Amino acid sequence: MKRPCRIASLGVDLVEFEKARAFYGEHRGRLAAILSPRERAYVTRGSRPERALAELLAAKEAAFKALGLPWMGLAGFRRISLRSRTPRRAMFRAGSRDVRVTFLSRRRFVVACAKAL
Amino acid sequence: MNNERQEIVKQVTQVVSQALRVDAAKVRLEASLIRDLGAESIDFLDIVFRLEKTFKIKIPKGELFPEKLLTDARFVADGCVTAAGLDELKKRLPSANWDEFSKSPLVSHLGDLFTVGMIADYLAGKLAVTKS
Repeated sequence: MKRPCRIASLGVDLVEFEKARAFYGEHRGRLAAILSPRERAYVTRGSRPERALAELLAAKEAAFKALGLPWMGLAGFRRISLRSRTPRRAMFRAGSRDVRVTFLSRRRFVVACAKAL
Repeated sequence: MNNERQEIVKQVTQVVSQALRVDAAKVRLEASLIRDLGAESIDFLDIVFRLEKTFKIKIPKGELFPEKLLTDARFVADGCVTAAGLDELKKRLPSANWDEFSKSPLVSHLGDLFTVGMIADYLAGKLAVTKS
């Protein structure tokens, strides 16, 4: 039986795959500064790391917005971490709060919609 | 502007121009990365990493982007920076345009403070400390 929960707020973000590809190419050695070990494995294990990276960055940024947090630099990205992932959605944890994210992918970009629970 | 500062400004301009894929002529000192140059969060990450590489420094957590301060209830309330928060931010980022921000101190407007000049000033200070 599912626990009842109340959706608190929403956040949305879009990341272009081309930007994520350029970022991955330039800074793949620095991913530990912004991604957890599980997230890095998700990016590097797949056949299209730039798409995985775009999803994660869009999800985290959408989560910031849903949680009402300002952009807080590199450390801010590590505060929100991936807990589980299916093809169209993911669950993140930010401190004591869960954030559910759904993804919409198109040829050039991914949109993440975050619901802070 | 002395030679060292000129060189810092030149390198910051190059980094921002490359990261945001904009003409270097548009990267003026007073240009806001978000409002004027269209930077997004992935671009901020890119710029920080490029600056660290270019200047061979580490930008510690909380130094350029005061994340701990922004989650402190004394300094941020209901999406606005409090008077105490404003004082604290001014100490951390003295070269930002606080006059403009103070008129509407929304947390969501903080990103507009990050101008090319502000970043150059931060680096000039950091490199001066590193040398001494």
